Amino acid sequence: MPDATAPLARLGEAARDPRGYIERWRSAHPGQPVVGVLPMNFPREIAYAAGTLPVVVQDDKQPVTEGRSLLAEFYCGYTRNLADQAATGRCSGYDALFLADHCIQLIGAADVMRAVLPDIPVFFGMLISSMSDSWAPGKTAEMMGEFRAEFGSFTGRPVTDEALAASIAAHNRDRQLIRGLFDERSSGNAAFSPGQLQDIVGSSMVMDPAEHCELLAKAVRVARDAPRDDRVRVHLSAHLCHAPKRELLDLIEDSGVIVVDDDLFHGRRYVSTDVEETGDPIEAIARWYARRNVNIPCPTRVQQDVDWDAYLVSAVRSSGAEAVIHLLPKFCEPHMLYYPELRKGLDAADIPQLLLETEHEGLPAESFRTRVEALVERVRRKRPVPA
Amino acid sequence: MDATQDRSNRLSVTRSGGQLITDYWDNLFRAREQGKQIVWYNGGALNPIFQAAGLAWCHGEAFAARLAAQRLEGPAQLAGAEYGYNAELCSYARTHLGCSVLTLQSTEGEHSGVVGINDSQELAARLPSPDFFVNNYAGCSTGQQWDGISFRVYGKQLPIFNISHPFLWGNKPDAGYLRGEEWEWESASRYVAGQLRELISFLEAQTGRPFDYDALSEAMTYIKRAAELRREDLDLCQAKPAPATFWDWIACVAPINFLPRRPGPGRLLRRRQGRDQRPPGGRRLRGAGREVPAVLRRHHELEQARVLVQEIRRARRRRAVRPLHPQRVLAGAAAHRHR
Repeated sequence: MPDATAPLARLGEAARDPRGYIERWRSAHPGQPVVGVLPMNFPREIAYAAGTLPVVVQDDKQPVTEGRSLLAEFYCGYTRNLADQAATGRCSGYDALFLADHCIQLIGAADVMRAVLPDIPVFFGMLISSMSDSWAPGKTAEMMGEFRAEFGSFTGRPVTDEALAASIAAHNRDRQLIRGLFDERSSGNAAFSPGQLQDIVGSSMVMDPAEHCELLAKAVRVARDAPRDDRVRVHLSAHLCHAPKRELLDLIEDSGVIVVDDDLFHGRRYVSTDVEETGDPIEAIARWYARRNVNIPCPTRVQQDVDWDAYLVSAVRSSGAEAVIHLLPKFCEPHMLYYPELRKGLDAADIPQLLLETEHEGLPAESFRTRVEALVERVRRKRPVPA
Repeated sequence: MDATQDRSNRLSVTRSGGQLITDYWDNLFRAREQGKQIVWYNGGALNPIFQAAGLAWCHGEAFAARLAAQRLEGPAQLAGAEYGYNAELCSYARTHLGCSVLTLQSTEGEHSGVVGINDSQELAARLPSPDFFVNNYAGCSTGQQWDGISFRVYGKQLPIFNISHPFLWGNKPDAGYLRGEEWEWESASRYVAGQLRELISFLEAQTGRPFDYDALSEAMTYIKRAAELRREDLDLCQAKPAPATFWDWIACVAPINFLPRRPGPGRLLRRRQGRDQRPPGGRRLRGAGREVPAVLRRHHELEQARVLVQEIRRARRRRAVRPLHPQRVLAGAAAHRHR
């Protein structure tokens, strides 16, 4: 019988040690560049079509040292960690860096990267973030076209429509396979733990999509269905740009909770939307960017006709979750701004909730445990008592 | 001399600026009674456009800063905290959103759970509710979300318009101020000018009347003149000791940033140039070396002459204002806005 843990272990290894994966990929693909892309909306498809390995730069869990003198303490932990990675030589695996998101903290990190890594190109093309405007689709497509041109300049070869179509197809296959796991989980199958799902998504941000899809397919083939137990069913929300600590996910499930759905960036949010495989590929990628914010609204975009709070209520109803835990990286302004609307919406729907603020360094484990357990008690009191 | 004695010598004209600001806010608080539509906006200055559209405007950062300067931000921040805004959130945004909460409470009869807040919230709650929102953030990502959330706090019932800006990060080697491949490549000015035209269409839809381009041209003419005077003032400050301090300079930011455009700001600066030349710290000019008073005396003489010339020019302008060409106003404003 094939060993299900082997493919999963390899995915986990890539997610937890992206630099190791990059080294192995480089030796298998001599001469092909590796580009770092910053979250959350840069289209990996274009970079992959250009013959590069696009890697979403991960928060690497190292304590911030040099980064402290480069970005202020009120930058989020992820961006301070990025600055630290750049300043201490931990970005040496990238031949270029690209970003598309207008976050003042992320741009601060990119400023640092450009300053301390003068020998590699750092390119920022801002995707329009006001999504309701009639000119937004055109501006988005224009910027996607600029990314394509920029990659053509970077590699010295134009990015063809055929290469884009193949890249889109490869990413779609991988996304669909991952999304299927999230759909199964929200339907009641607890085969994969939150930590395993995080590894699966995290590795898809790092690995060649074809290789990732193949490994994941092996893991899925041998995975066994596991029904939910009686723990309190919870939806984990947000934690934008980077992954919550695995220890936190373990702690939550160890406090009487089973995670049944999420809209984490290192979760369902990342794989929510496919790129259309017909028509002009750049236009299709532009539409992907727009539909992504409709499928799972993001507080970093402004779109008046989609509501994150309404999405959460709907997701909770659909998965049967009994409570929501908001995971808010400290100093994440878009999330802090939107949080009262989430709170209001969930309160109106009578859905219990808990806000946990996370930091790059440190995890107040026992404090979090107590608070999660209090949520669990609150939810249990609301459960119908058997006659 | 007592070491703790305040020896600063502030420009007396700053008080005039303060009065202009007070008048502006008083007018805004009474705007509803005067039958004016009110726009709340954040980010880069759009007041000449609002002025030409016949609107009353409230700049979110400015009102938050005013509350903080008067040490009256507490009630708004408490209301914001009670509503759910994290204390780490941008203080401008948090105060202003707290004002939204208080303004809504005062108009809808909702009650805060914060003990004593009703006694101390008066100014924060006096901000009249908006008829619509306009957002104009070019650099800080918090800004666009801020108005997006104000829109939600008001129950998604009020119109909102977002101006989008190209972010010129300096990706290309020849990048520089208003130049380089990136500048040309993105047609940056045309993009923003197009956005301002869309804004004007939005304002026409909200006000139900055609936009007054002549009024905009006139306001922009005053702005341009005020900017010229300000630059001239800055040049004067190359003298040592400088006739104005950094404090003097930033104290006039508020009138420059959000007051209605009339001859006022220009007059303000002209009076500044004709000020008492005594430098900060109470030193008389003779104490700094023989050549310094001569320099400043010369400045003073030049300034007297210049003030006279300006009076003549102003008199001419009063008779025949020569506004900037309406077709060039938006392009010029756009170029300035995202530099």
